[in-house]
Amino acid sequence: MIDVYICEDNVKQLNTIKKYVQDAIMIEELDMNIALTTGDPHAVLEKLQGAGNPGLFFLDIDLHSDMDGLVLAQKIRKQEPRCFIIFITSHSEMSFMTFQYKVEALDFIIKDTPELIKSKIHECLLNVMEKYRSSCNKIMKTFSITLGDHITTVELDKILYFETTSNIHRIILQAENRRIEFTSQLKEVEKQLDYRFYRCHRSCIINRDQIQEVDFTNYTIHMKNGHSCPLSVRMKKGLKKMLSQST
Amino acid sequence: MIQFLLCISNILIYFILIRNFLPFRLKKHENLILLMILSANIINLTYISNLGNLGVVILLSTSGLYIALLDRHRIRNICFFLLSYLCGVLWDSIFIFCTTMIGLDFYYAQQNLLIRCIYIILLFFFSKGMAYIFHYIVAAEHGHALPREVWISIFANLLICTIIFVFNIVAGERAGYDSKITTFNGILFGCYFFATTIVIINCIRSYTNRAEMERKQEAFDTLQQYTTQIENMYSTVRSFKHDYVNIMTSMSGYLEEHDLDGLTGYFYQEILPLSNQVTMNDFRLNQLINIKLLEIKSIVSAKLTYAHEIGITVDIEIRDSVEKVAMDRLDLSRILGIFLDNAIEAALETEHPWIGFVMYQHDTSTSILISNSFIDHGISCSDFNKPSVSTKGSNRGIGLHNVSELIKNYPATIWENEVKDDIFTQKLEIHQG
Repeated sequence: MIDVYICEDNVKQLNTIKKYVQDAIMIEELDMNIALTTGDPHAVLEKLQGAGNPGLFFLDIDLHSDMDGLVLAQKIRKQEPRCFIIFITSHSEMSFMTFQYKVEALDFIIKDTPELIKSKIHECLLNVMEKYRSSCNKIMKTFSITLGDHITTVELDKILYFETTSNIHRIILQAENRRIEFTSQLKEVEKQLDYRFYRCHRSCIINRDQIQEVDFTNYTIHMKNGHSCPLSVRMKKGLKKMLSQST
Repeated sequence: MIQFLLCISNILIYFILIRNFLPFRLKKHENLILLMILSANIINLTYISNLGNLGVVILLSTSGLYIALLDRHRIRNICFFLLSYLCGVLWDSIFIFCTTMIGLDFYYAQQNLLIRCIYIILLFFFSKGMAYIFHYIVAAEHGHALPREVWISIFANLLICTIIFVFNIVAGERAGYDSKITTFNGILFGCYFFATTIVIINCIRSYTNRAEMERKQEAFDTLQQYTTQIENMYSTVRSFKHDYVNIMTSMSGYLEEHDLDGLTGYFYQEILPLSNQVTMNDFRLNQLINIKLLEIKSIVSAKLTYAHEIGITVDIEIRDSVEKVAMDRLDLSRILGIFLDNAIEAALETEHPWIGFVMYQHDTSTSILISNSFIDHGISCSDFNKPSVSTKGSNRGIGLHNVSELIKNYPATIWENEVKDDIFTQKLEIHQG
């Protein structure tokens, strides 16, 4: 069950959005429930205290209150890190990049023609439901990099390898389409990983599932996306054993 | 036996000096090779040939060559190597001076193992201290950014210093050592060493001052440009205001005559295109007002204005006021300059060039995102920040390598790049360390 919260200061629009959401839930028979519709951002935060279900939030950006949609979204994220946030706005000229990155907003609904809003809300609800289901079905194991109050997470499935750089204590995480350089040690990194990962070299930890082929004569491991990693002589045996076990 | 121990002590002396002075740590095998070169030379000096101090020249050139080959900063490394040798010589002079002051015989002091041990231990601390001072000076004056010319002039200076000294010793040897002459030479040499050091420090300082001035001038110029841009924006707004009044009057004209068809036609023909135009030209440079750091603002505005002028769609979003970043401003502006240059270059190759610049502040961290449209050239991300990897052929691609060199000084920084649907994003998350 997902709790839906709507925060919009214009009462008329609030009711329209509520109606659209209700319609969509009815038509698609979604496992959702409207928990709160309000114009006051503080009411949202209050209601959120002690709520057990995951939340889906439709937030207006301009709330004409002491906090705007972005600040509200940040506060919600802090309380409930895994919720879904969708912004509703009349600013069609904005590019919303800040919203996307800072509070990981799922989508943006532009207050355009009612028809478009309706179809967009419908689409968003389906999208959220799908995401929710997939996250319930398998508990994604993730690797997280914590710095200060901010956590960057990467799913273990998507990680190709970790490697050291020429700079002391700087580690590179190479994932599909993503690459993160951060400060740590491979020894520390290893603690967060599971059986799939193997320290194949002093400077490298690889994800077994992402190996394309291993060149044992030249001591190189070719990964699925064309990268290659070194293999040390000492670790060759262990890798062979590991690979034969998995097949 | 004694000779053998002395031989080992000599190797140790050179080894300690070089290790303490080099600006980076040697790896295991590098240490080994260096030791081998040194021992080969010293054994040659003591047992095989009787070149005397001319052998030192060979020793210096071989180990200097090896150290120069270690990494990219060849001249810098040689400079530190020469410094280490000069420091050793200085220490030697000081030590001999002290022992003669105490009244010990020069030859006795040379041959006595206990004195030798004390010599080495003291040398270790002395060279550590000297190296610390030199590294501190170089770091304080932004030495990692010193251009080649400065390093070359420092190098020339040190080289001459070394040559003169070695010549002095060789000549002294030919004429026969006298402890008084050696002491005198030592003092003379010490003076010369200090004089050169002061010259070098001044050299570096004058360079950094000049660089600072140039940077300020540059920042000033770009800010000037930024002001012009803002002025232009203001005048566009004014002309729009003017148009707006005109539109209102003509609309009221239609309304007075109750000419609804005419009004409809007028609205669709005149007003709608105008509003499109207004949003199209909406280059939100004014968002940069939230960056309160002058250097950063100037580099970002310069690059983004340029991008806008050559026809790239530029989106800027800086909603939070950025007053403080936990990184040296010069370093950050260099990094941003490299990122933005890359973004502009990559975006230009695409059909609809686009660049997005986002900066936001969390409680204790600042995030900067630079996205651009790009065409995948098949360079995998893993190669991005190696030197000389670039989509533009060889001899390029120093940029991102430099970024990783700069970032390594800030451990509380996460540098991320991501490829998603033909959009390439560089993200830098700077935390207060």
